[in-house]
Amino acid sequence: MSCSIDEPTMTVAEKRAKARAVHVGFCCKCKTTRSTIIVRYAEYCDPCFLIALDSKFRTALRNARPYRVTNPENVMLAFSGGSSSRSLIHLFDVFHSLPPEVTSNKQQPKIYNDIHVCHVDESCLFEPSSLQTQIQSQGQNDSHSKEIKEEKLDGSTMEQARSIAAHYNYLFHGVRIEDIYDPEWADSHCFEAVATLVTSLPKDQLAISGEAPELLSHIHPMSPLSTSSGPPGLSSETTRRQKMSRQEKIAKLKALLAACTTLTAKETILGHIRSSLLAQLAKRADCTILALGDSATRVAIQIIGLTAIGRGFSLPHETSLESNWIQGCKVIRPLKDCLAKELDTLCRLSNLEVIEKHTARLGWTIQSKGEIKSIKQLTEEFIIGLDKDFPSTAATVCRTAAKLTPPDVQYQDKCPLCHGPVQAGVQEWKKRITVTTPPSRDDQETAKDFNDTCCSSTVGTSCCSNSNRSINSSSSCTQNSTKSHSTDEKPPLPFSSLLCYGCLTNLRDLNLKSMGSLNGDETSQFELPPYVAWTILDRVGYKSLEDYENAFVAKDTDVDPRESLREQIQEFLIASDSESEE
Amino acid sequence: MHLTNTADTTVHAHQHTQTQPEVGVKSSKGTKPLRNPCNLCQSVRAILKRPKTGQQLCKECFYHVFETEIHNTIVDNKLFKKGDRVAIGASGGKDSTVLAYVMKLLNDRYNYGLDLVLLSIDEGITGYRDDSLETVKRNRDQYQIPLLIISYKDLYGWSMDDIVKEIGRKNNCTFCGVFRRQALDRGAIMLNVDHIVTGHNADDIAETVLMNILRGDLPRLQRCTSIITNDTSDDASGIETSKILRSKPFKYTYEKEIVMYAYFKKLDYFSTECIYSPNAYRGYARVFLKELEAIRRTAIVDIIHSGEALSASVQANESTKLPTMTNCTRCGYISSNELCKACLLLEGLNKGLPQLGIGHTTKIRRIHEAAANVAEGLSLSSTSLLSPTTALSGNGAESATVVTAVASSSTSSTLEERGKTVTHIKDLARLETMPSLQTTS
Repeated sequence: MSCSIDEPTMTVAEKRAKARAVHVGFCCKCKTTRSTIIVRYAEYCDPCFLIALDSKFRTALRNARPYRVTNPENVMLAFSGGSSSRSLIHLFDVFHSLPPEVTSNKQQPKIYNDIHVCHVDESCLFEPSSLQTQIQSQGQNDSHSKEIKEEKLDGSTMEQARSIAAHYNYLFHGVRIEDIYDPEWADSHCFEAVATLVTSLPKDQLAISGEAPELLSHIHPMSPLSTSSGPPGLSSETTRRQKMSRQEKIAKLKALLAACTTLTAKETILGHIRSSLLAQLAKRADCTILALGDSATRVAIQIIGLTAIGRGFSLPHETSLESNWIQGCKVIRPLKDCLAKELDTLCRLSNLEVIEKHTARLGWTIQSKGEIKSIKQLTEEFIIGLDKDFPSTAATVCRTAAKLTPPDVQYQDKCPLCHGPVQAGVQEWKKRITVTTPPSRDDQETAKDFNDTCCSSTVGTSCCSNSNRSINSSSSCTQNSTKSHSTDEKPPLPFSSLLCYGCLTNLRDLNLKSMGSLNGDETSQFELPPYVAWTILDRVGYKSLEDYENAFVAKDTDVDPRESLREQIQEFLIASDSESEE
Repeated sequence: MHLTNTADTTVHAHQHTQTQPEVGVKSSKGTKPLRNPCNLCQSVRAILKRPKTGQQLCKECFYHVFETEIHNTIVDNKLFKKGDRVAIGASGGKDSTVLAYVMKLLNDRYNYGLDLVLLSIDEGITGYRDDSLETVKRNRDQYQIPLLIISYKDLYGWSMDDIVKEIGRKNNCTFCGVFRRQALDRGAIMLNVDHIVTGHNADDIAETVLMNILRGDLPRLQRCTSIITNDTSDDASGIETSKILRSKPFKYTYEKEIVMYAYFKKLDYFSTECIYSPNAYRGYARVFLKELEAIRRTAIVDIIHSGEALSASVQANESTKLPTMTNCTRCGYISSNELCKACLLLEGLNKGLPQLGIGHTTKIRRIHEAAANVAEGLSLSSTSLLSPTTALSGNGAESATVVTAVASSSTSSTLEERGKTVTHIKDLARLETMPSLQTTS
């Protein structure tokens, strides 16, 4: 069944190239100058290439947001430091700098009001060894590597990004990737809590069954005092309070990434954090439009990559020219028609300064030699390789996805981790096609109806995940956990059941040992950032952290809420201290 | 029941040799701490790592989950009705052999009440299909399921060997694929079945999803994940093929697990790749998929899940409507054009213009038309005159089965088109007289 019907077809581009064959060696636009650049089948001279690229950008921008808009909006340009987003800033500048006669004309309305640039500094996750490969070969000691780590931390990309934005007189907003643990980057500003995960079953049982567990979550309030012990945090640009030291936040982020056993999972979670920060940055700067510098090559890689990790449902939102998914912030990708190589060429021709090392490559965090590639990297190689043999691959893939309509789902029901749309019934779907019950239950299995409970795989245990929208139904879980700590007396909130399919799949790569267990024998070794905690509470139906706290207090105890809060904080402090010492 | 596993002991012996260090523990069954127990039953030592989940399972638990998943797929998608006559598309390869075995097994175990038959297509590829058909014949005897073999030579007048001789190795898969699809339908009509099941597995479907995204084929992207494909579109009137459903019970079954199942059950299958099947583009997707699976074993299911979500996204879009289906004016087969693809390809073959139907049909046809007009009186203009009458006779015999309808139309056309090269319509009429079921080899 491996053979298929494959017909030799000539693409439009190939046909055009044939028609152009008369001008071989000359620019296909002006036809007078010798060509210097070849894009797929077309040859250009430098000036014509720049004009062509600029008009491509303008067309896309106009399609993303029609010019005839009554009130001008603020736009946020996401700048990573790479050539694509660098081109985005440049092209926006060219687009927005009007000739003086137009500027003086008051009748001409502005298309965009203010242009902001934002940057996410990921330097804390850079590979520490780039300078020390020789040292490593000589057998390095720990203190030395730590020193170099510090050095690299200082070499952040923030200042470089700021100077580039300043060059255009654009407002600059910088944030460090670890700031995701700041309370202010949740949907409700200043949400001082993090979430931890527990497995619904004891670990030993899970190890035996080899089955992915049902995950539940706990919300832990963050201590306002937690920074006093640590060194004073380095002032990050947009933080108003100093809550947690930078080192603490980095430690938290690294603990989260360390809990992922695969590079794919690490990269995916980092991607969610990155886009969450970008959306928040745009919202806080009162920008109703967030422009991303995704090139056609990048979008094509995204499309295949997202498909491969099971994110087909949110794919239209994550790859389209314009997406209205995020409430109050429209995401546009005006470089979607330009190949990555074209943008590289633009940067070269226009002498645009890029930041050499700007995105965190997490390959170095993988200890075992088993997985050295992530699905994203593999997809990247695949698409780029295919593009060499079939030069229209990237364009074809992009065009395919452009015709997809996004699913009709409410933004309120977003996935806590990726903030993407959630498809109903994915767990059941998976359970039906991947049976994990032993044959002894065969008869029951046949009698079971279609709408199986989500816990059907966990043999003979109470179902915890049914506590979807009410905390009352999850009381059975708390009864089980007789040994629970005082902090864990709050009934656990659902987690797995709130996730989208892609995140559910991704979390299978979480190390079970790093998670807490329901009976309180073990505590979680990592925390999910406040934005996740906030979304969990929101999805479960609490309006705020206090709301959640009070509901718990009123239900279970008569203790003064402040008193119990302190208790929890103390517990939390000890736990986090011991963790950071490790 | 003859389906019980007779290969148990031999397989166990094989495992012993494979996992040398643990043999000692395993042989003493009474000992309490079972080393490496099966993740599901906990009572038997695991002998395999399940490709789909990575769980360590014993053989019986693997059979159980493998069969139950297929059963779930069949039940959840309501593939069959009680009393349905179902043809199993059998090539003799691993997928279809396991499919035949499992269909028989599940039919007995869960009382589907299905009347199963095997349907094989003989493409006429020496050194490949002739050997694999021997396997199918053995399967027929082993599982006691009747078998019908239909050959390209009988149906179209050309075997794949002949076609390759004529057109070379390039594009021969186009002919094979188009002809097989129609041949399966023709065979199904002859067998009077309601349903054809094929052995397409999860890997095949995931690969097709990727291929269709890469090729930008939205209509196919939409269709490729649906478990039942049906030639019916609402306006396809009276044509018998339209009532035959096609489905893929292995939609969520990993290729590796099928191989594993066949291996442990010691099923008799034929495992040679088609000798004419080099295919660059699909090869890329296949290699990519295998690499994805190596990184994350759920990738195949994840891609199918994505594909299903994407196909829902396509549906909402008006611009990607499927072409309206009509009947081929020459053979009556369902087609989106005036002539079905098989007739077009066949015309090219018979007129020594194998490029017809591959690439730009109209252009090649124009060239051909001009050449034919000059060369001989027999030209395409006569064919186009003929077409309406053929169509009429096809529509007129709505109540009759398609075989007879097509046969009658073919006789009328052959009368008028005497001297013209053979079309498969005529051959189909001849096929009608063939024994419908071969019971002995």
